[in-house]
Amino acid sequence: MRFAVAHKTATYLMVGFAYLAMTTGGALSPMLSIAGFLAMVVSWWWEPPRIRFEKWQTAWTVASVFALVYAVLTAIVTGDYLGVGGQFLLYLIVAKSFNRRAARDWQQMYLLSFLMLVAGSVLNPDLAYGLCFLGFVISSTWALTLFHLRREMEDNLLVKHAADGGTHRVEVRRILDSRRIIGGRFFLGTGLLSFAVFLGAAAVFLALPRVGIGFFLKSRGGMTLAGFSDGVKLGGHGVIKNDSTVVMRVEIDKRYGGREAPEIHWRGVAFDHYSNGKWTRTMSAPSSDETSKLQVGPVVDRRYWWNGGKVASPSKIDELAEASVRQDVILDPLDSDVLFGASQPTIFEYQHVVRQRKPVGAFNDEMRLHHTGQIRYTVYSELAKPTPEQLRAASGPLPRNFGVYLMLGPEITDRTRALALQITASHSNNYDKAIAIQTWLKNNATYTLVLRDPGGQEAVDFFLFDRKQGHCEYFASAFAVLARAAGIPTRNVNGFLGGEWNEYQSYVAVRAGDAHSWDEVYFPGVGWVTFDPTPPADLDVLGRGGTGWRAKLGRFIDSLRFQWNKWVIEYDLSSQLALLRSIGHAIKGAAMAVKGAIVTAKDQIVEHWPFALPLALPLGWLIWRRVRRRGAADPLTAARGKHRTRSTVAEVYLSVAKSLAKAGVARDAATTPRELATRMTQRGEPAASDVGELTELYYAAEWGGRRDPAAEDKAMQLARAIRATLDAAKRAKR
Amino acid sequence: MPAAPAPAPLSSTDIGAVRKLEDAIATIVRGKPEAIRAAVVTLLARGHLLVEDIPGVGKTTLARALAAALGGTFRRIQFTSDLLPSDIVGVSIYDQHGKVFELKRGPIFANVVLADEINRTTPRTQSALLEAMSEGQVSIDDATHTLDTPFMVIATQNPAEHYGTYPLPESQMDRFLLRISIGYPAKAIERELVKLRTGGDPVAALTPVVDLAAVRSLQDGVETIRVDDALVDYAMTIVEETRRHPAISVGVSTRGVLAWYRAAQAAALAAGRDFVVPDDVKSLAVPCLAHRLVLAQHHDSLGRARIDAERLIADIANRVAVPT
Amino acid sequence: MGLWARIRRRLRPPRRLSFTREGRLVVVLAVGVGFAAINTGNNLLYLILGWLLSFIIASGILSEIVLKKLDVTRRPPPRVYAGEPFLMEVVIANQKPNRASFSIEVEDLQGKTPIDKRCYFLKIPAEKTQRTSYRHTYARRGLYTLTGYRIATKFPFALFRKSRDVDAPLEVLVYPARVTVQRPAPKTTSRGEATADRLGRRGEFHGLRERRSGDDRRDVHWKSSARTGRLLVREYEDELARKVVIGVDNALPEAVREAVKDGGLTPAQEAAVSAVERAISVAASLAASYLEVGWTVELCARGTHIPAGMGRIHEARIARALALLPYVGEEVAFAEIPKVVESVLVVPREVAAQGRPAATTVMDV
Repeated sequence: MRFAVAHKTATYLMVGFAYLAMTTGGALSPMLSIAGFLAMVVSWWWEPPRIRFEKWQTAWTVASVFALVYAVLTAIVTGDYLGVGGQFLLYLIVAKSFNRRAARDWQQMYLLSFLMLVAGSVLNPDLAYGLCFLGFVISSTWALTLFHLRREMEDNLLVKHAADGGTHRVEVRRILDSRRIIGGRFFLGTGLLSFAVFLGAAAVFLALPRVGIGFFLKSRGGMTLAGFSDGVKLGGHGVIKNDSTVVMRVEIDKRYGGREAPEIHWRGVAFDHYSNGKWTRTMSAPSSDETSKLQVGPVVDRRYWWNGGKVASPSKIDELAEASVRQDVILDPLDSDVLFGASQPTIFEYQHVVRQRKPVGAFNDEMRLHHTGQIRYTVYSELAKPTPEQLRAASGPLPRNFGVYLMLGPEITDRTRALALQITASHSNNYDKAIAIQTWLKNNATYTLVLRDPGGQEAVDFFLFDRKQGHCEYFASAFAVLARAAGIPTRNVNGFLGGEWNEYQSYVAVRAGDAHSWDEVYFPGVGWVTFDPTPPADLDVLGRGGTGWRAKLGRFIDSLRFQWNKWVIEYDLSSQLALLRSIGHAIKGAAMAVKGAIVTAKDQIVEHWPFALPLALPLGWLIWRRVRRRGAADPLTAARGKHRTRSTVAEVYLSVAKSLAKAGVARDAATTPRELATRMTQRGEPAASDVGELTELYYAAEWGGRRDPAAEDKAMQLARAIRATLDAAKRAKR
Repeated sequence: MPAAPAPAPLSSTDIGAVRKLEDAIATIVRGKPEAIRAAVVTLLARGHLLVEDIPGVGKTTLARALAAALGGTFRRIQFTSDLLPSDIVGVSIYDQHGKVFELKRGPIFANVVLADEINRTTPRTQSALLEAMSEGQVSIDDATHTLDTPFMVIATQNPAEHYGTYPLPESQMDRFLLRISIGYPAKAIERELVKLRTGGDPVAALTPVVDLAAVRSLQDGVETIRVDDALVDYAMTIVEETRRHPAISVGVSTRGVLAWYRAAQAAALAAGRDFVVPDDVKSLAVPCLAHRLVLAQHHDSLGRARIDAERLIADIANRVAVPT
Repeated sequence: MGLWARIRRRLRPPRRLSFTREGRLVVVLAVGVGFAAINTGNNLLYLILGWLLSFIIASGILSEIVLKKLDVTRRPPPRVYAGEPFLMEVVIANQKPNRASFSIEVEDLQGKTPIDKRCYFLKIPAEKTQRTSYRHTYARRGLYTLTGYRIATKFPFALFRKSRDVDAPLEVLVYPARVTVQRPAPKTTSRGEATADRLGRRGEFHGLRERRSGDDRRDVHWKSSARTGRLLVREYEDELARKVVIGVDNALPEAVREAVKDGGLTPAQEAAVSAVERAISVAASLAASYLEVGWTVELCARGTHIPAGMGRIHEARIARALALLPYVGEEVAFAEIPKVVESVLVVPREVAAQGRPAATTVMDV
């Protein structure tokens, strides 16, 4: 490839990757990003001799002033310094790519691309950033190396090019057009270099300890990815959209999350008060602040709340954690600061990053934690449901403040209340009553995503008697109202249902479209139990667990995202410690495995040696040939004439020479055997005289062409003697 | 030239003769076995020896002892700046009494000729000597006269002197088979020599141990010494390296390789073998090749040039793998 | 060298590292990103920091690899004259079997400071040699020692310049500047007659005389010898008459000599030194000129004497002596200038000194 073209290509690749790193993820206006990208593509051809830069000088200056003013004003007005900064960077790189004149301009392009990369780290913390980063590393190595060579060459016109005769002054142009400087080997070499740089970067990334100092804490960027509404409002019309954006990824044991496992209700928001079609949390609801805070790790908090019972000791809480199902959740930022967990969650664990996180006041056994970006935490949940017998037998007084769960506003119609009593008339305990209501709803209403405005009518009444169709919020609200009317303490819970099991990384991907609404009923002495009145068969599951190749691909990409989030974005001190521990285990495991493998191999060979032989021979011959050829790399030191058939005495000598070499008396290729013997005699080494005699026999046989059986016998005798002397010397040394 | 008849294989008496020759010389020239071996090897290989050395270390003694041990004639030519070719080869002299021109043979008509300080004479005179060495015959006034056989020239150069010297150009150095330097004898030997210097000429007391015919047949026998192909490859590798080496402007020529080959054979014979071993080749590398090189870097003094060339050859020989 | 110094040298080969402007910028960026990363806990910034650090380290390793196994030979031309620019050839050999070296700079060192003539090689393929040369001028004659050379590279990213100093002393003998001179008319004659330049090796036939031992036998004039019954030889004009002694006064007052050693010269001292230099240059050029036409030249100066000789080697000897001729005090005696032969004494006009011998011609320069 031509030198100049190679340099330009590498630079554009580098800038392109940095550009994509900043703009994918849509933090900056997509239109602007695409326009900028196209402009840069055009700028590839914008160079002399086609274009004269001087002509466009004033135009660019005007444009730059305009852009600067625009950026400053917009930033001040909107306060979004980051976004405006990113847009200004965009303009700068486009402007620079149209003005590539001297070395300085290229340098500025590199600097700008670095700044774009840094900007992208804040604007675009997605998997796409990782891929662009990799591309950036590789192309930057090429680009900067070529840039250096180009600049050096332009500075030093006096360049000679590979010749042993004649020296010519070479023009810069010719070098730039030359194909000989940069060949395939150069790219291979720099490719390997950039790979090594990437590995180095990864190593530094993993190894640098994450201990925050937190001087100037800035919010951790990240935009709200999915709109999860923190309230339930019945009414309105339209069509509920099925949003397939993943909102959280939960690592959970396969038994509970796998494809065959029953769907999990991911509980998040809980409401106690219903009025005029709206569910809200009231201050009079029992607060879930009755939690205890425990230090579990250096910066880890564990929150456990008891429902009216005693505060458990730390060891008891540990036992409870052991007995519960553990989930590791990575939650993408939503409009709410609620944390989700499988029903029923009992313990939450989260790590402080940089600064102590303050839990937010929560009610109705919600767990809220202020966070402004992605967050990672651990939940322990009790998934096992109590048996119906237990629930039927539950009885006792309601805890303090639980009256809110029985309250109904005056707008609830009479026929609603009557219906409630009618459904539950034949049952004596709350459990059977709740089941009856749930069954009635399933049988008498159907699920739909098309909403109709109830107008002035009470929403539940409209649903129960007129429309008889609705989505999960209607079902849940209706259940809660009916249950309360029947005297059963109930509350409405929002969260997500189910999700997609990702077999690549063993986690459940929960999507925005999985948002769901259901209820919880309180049984004194047992606790809150989940009731989901929405008919399951009618739920529009989002291609959950599809097996087509498209679904598999989608899951695979999501698993990459998951990995990215887990190991890069959310990489923290506990991850580092876990990594160190697992590395230690892996090394130990590998060592044991290797030892085991060697032992079994040995046993196998010993057992099956007749079969191994025909395999071993050709293999051994191939290896031996390779080794011989390797030794003949340097023509000066290559053993010439190896095609000669050697005499017996020569073979004997050569094997003795090997023994001597092992004993420390090595002969390098350029020393003659006789010189070696003389050296041994001068140093007074044992066996020196025998070696000398053997050398002379070898000479006579090999160079004199004598084939004498007597000499061969003598040679072998000498060889034995020499080996004996060497062994004796080795033993004496020990 | 018609092919010479294949020489007869060597007999053990022939081989023993070389040992006797060396021993005889060693009684006179003490403590310098390498120099004696070099002289004997040169003789056997029908070559000529160049000794580059400081004065007074026994060059003359060596030459005279060699001649005496052979039973041959010895002549010494002292080269001066006004020496003429006719002083070497001879001249026709006008005899005043007989009124005829008489041929007076020059000192080159001898078996062993010591050409002392050959770098002090003009190039014209040098070339007269060198031509005689290579042709084995001289022409005096349009008549050619063959020289005696065996015929060996031991030429000397004093490396230290510069004044008014004409050092041999490299193209002429090629005509010498080996170049050695004798150097001072070992301290013990030197002390003994000083004590033993009783007077009288020990060389005169040396009786010949071989005769010229035996030497001639030995010289023929050198060609029968067996040389394995691997050794030729080894030698060629070294020679190719001299031609490639960046510090060497012109490497060893083909004539040099042939000379080395012959010298190795002669060395094998001198050691009492009828086959050449790698040590023969390797040990002769420096004496045989160093003076044939033209170095890239110009040296002002002969001594430094010699050291440099010898070092280069030694480096190359210590890098090339010996055949086994 | 002490044991500690030896250990240190073994552990750390002498390398020199200097950051370029871009290198400093990258370090500042790395520090900045590191600071930001630690403060905000943003893992992607850690990633960028990792890349920057790895980048810097890779740069160091690669520049090390590229500098290895490079052998440089400097070849000055056979003769270097003061004040005349010459081309010093620099030959660099890449002895690595399979790796090329990129972006190599070579400069000669005198003492510890480089000469400031950098030779640049863009790419030296594996096992290949490349040549270039730089132009340099030595203002003054004398023996200069280039103590070694420095190989440097900014490969691969021009973040810093890594260089290695190699000790390879090279002596460059700078001969006195060449000037054009006229050989002065010869004042001495042989046989009482002034003769013009002679043709042939020995001059014109002069006459016959009886043969003495040592005479060239070819000079025997046979015809006359046969007639007279004695051996008679032809006689030519004697070569010994074509001999000249060149003298040059290299005396300088002590103050000036001290000033030259220290390095600070007043204009008057400069003038004196230049005058002596001029004289030496004239003497060198004269010697060369005489030797060219086949004369025998002898050199006499204060404290230096080169006996008579002729030929190319002798010219080299005289030129070398004049190149190295030191400044001495006027108390140092002049080498004796023989009386009978032609002699030329070159004296610097502006320097007065005692003890100048007499000569047949005195040149004031």
